[in-house]
Amino acid sequence: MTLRIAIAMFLATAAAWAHHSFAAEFDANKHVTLRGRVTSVEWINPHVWIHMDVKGPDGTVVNWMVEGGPPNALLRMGWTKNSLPEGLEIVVDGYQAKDGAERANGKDITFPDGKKLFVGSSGPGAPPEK
Amino acid sequence: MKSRLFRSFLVTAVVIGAALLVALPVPGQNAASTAGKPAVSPATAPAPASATAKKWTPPRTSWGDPDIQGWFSNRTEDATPLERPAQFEGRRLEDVKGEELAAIKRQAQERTVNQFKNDPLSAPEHWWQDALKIVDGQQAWLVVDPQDGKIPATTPAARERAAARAAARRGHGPADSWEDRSLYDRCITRGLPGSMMPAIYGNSYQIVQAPGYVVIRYEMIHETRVIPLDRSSHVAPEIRSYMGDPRGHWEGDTLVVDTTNFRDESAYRNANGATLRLIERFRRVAADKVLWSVTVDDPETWVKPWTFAMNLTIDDTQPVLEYSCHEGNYGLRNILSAARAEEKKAAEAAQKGAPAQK
Repeated sequence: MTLRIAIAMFLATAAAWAHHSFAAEFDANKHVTLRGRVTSVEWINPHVWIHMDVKGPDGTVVNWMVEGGPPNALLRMGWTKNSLPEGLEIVVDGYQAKDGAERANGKDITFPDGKKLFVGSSGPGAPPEK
Repeated sequence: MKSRLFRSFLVTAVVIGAALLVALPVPGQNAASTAGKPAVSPATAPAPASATAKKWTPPRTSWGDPDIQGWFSNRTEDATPLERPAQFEGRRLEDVKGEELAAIKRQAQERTVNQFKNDPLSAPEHWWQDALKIVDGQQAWLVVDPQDGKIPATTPAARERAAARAAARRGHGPADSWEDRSLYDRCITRGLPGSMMPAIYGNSYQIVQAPGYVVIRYEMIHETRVIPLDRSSHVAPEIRSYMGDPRGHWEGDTLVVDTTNFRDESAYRNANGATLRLIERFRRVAADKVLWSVTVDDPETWVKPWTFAMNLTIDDTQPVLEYSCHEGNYGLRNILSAARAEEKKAAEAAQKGAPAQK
């Protein structure tokens, strides 16, 4: 399995891998498109966080953090710690935190080759617990 | 993609076929109630589920206990409802099988996909098959006793407790404090049997045996239960824990685990933690399946005991991975900050005379 396929598989599945309610943290009406370079990835439970520098229209660079899926889920789908290397330019399509901070729940990541992949991690697609 | 779908179909067909050859949970095979008096007897051994299962000889450990060890997953049952759906009124669980069961599972996947198709954050269709394997579900519902597949009525005491809880919550928002969030949100526990129930991810479990002990490790949220097989008494009633106090013993090929002494916060389905008793039975019914049933007995909560059951499937491709949930649980902090931001917005709107918005 190539890494690309592995990433595609994971990203396509991440939306519903939620530990928390999307609606309690993020605002579905605050859609954001973030273009920038990966500065670090926190491989932590219960969700991975991708940090990226995003340049605003006035040239100011702001570091955003984007929520991804659980590390276990990423690992099972073939991710490694090298899957999102520092410096990689990506575009994240997502939803901003309700408190207005530079924090988002990712929906899609677009990679430098134009490949668009799903990354949302707190989607409301989770069936209720029994 | 076409060949992948075809392979998926073939695998599904083989799995469904195989599932029909092994045991299905059978109503009444577990502890039953008698004349309104709870009769959850750990001495009640499950009856053989089928002639096929009867012929199969389960393996034994080197010290002679039935061997139920392995890596397990129950991800196939994520879309299986706990109670019998209305469409099966009058039907028995064991009679819903074959193509009818397969069709139900296909519909469950389709329904799940369609339900979230237009949601901006929902997962695409193949996720529901690849990760959860909904279409490989082995039963139409989980409650096997009573035979109508329904959880018995709650007692007046249970309704009084629910009313008292609701009264205590009055005036509280959903996120005034971290204590308003669930034990799951807070990375504390999914309780019992919650830790073994199918979830959206983290459906891996490990059973390890040693002379005198059985240990169960649950990936989500990372509990480990150490079950002594010494028939010793439960701890004193004052000592209560999230996962309860388990004692196990073997009845033939069946491991029977009796768990009591629950904390109220984690007691299953709002039962009374002090009086709740869970009787689990684990019996290996095929090389890759352990039938797990749970009899839920709490005379303070339900008018009679009830039992649900499902097969735990051995799956070496799904070992338990670390899920140290509290490690970076930013979500909890973010939920609280989101609630504060919404309150501020509502207060500002109220000051301006506009209707407060949630």
